[in-house]
Amino acid sequence: MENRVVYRLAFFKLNLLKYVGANDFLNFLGRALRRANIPVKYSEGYNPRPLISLGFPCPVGVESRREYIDLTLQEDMEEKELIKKLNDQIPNDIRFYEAYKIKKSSLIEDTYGIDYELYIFTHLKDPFLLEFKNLDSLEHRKILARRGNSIKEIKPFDYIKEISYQNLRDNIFLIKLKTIKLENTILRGEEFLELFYIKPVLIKQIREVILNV
Amino acid sequence: MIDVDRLLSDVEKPSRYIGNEHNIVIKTWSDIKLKVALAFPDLYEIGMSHLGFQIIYYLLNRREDVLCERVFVPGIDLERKLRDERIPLFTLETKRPINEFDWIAFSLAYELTYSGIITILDLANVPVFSKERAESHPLIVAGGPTVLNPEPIADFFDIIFIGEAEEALDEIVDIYIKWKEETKRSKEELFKALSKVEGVYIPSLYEVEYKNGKFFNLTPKYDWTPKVIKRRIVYDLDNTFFPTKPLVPLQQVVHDRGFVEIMRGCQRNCRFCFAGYIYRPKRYRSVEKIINYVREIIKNTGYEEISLLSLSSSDYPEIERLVNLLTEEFSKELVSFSLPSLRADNFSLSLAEKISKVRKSGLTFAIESGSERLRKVINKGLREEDFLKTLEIAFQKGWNNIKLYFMLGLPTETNDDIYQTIDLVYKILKLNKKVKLHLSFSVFIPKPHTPFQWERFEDKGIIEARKQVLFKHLNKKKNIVIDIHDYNMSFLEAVFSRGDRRLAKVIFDSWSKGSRLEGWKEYLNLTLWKEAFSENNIDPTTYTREIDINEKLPWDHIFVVSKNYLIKEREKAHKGLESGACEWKVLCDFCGVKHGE
Repeated sequence: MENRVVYRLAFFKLNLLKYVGANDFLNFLGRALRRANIPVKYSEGYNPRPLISLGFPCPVGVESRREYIDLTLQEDMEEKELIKKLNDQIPNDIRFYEAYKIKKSSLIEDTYGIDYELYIFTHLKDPFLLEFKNLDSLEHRKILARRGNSIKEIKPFDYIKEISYQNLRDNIFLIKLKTIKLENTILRGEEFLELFYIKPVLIKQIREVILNV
Repeated sequence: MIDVDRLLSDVEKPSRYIGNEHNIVIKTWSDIKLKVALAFPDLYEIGMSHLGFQIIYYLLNRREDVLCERVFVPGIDLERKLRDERIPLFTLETKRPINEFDWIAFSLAYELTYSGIITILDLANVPVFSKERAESHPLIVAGGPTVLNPEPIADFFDIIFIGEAEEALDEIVDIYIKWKEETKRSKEELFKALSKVEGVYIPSLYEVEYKNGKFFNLTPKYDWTPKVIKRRIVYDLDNTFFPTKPLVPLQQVVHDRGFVEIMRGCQRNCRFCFAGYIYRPKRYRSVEKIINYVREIIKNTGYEEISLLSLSSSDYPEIERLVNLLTEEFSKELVSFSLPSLRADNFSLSLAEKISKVRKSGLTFAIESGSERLRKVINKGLREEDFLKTLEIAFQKGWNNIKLYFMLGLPTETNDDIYQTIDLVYKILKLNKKVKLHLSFSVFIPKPHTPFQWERFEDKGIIEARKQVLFKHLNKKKNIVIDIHDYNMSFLEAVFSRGDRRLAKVIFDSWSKGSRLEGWKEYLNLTLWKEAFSENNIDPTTYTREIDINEKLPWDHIFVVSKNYLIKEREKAHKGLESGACEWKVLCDFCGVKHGE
């Protein structure tokens, strides 16, 4: 039987590295794995690619405290060694910190939801707060969101599990948002802000992928 | 340090500006004697694809007393933001403003990046023209292939280096450091010392005369100024520096792979080919060295593909042994190799077959013209019969994607030659009806230091008419894709290729009007250039016309190959006579290039 071991790895991606897009990140990882001499499994065919799966890819410009990849190797490897070898080959702002074996690559299926920290600025503090306090009234509001190659109408509230805010200073707020996956789609942080009539400016967005327990 | 993050949230491709690549070199600023901002006057994805740029980066950084950081032209969106917020252009390594460096050194590989020089200098608050700069400003330096006619950009630079940097750069750096450490320093003293280094050209030390709207003469201002600048050549290529820990970009770049230069120079004497003359003599790296470099590069970069660079891969003397050894060692690691510039013959085909074991790509041949007569004029040395045989074998072996490069507007070309090209395409289709053909046409540009340096750059009307002939006969076929290079872009390239010193002002003026990134079809705006030419009372066709053989040329003071040799080659071209492949001590037409013996 063909040797194939699938590992799930968690990592963070902070600061300027948030600007690396998903496709570039895959190339970046493929090269880091080769440098690290990790026995990664490749796809068959004319253009062999390392078997790495990203789940719901982290959008360009969004930092993440917890992302996952599923990585298929040709042979068993100690998790600690895998993490160390990989981290030796990549910049400090991306670090792998957790690895475990899984039966098969199924990140999209295993994703429960995404938690967001949205740092925002609003020039009209009071009306914004008023809107926030009456969020429940926006329950049925629909917004237009890109899903794949098409634009669809979605109801952000359907995705939201928990929400809170903190006034950090002056007109700057931190919104903490917990969302769930719905029909294999997720809500993006900036899409949530579309709910507001007085749309705040998004300064910074950090996410964390939550898997099913 | 500039807070880059704040600038990047809404610009296109922000990963161009973040640095952080594997193998990046970051040194402690205070420990360093010479700080260089290495500039490429085009976008990141272009600059990072140039081997020469990475060679200079590591050549400088390998010295403990030198640091080198990179800077590229920002996209239009970031440029606007930097201006609005009055933030100076910064390096990728430490995000430091580039005007804090001792040198801003430009790598110039393409004439249509010249306005990028101004974008970079202006965003760094450095005066663009050398005569307007004080001693406190950074020294502005240039090198690269296009500076073999340095005149169009001469007024921007303090120092232009002509030739191959691997040896000479250390000499220049040493002289600069010595000069910097002396207390009483004037630029003139520096120039005096530097002008003794072979390959160094200091434009401000020369006077230029024009007569009747044309270049007339260039003479040294001082008795210590060299009359002729000889191109610096690395004779021992095998033992010269090569970067085996290159930067691995975090975003896709145009040539997204590792490189090993296996050979420099070419023996084929294709008369249109700039590279064929400016990289003489032909020199090789040994098979053992190449394999070592490949091994190190894969280990240091993790690249899945290595390109074995040369101007004509199948002319590398031990190419078969090299390819066998490489595929034997690396195919199990799923590393593939590419051989650019394959000749259209059976031998090349067998090489392509060997290297395509891991990743199979299409076949590409630059045959330049479908006309046998014209191929003799340009000395391409390719017979139609042999070419068709090669394709026949390729089809039998399963290659069905073929890309062919052609040129339009070659010297002596007529419509009849275009019909010959169409005929050739039909012959290929007859061999294989299912073949997918990609036909790529560019417009011939007469380049300095080649036998065609006196030829005209063809008029738009004629190129347009020939294009229509091609489209009429070939465009209806479903399996043929035709692309034709933008005429306006070629026109500007032709102007700068054979331009003189008056063009610096034109470049500056059209840049001031908003022209940017002319090498990108979507950004080129020829109207701005036309205005700039007209305001400077310069007719651009002065630079695209046929030049009389007795006229002095703006690049005559730069020695690459002997003018007599070029004249003879040109005469042969017009008679349709071919020249054999050059081989030192076996068959030599005495082009005047030294072989380091």
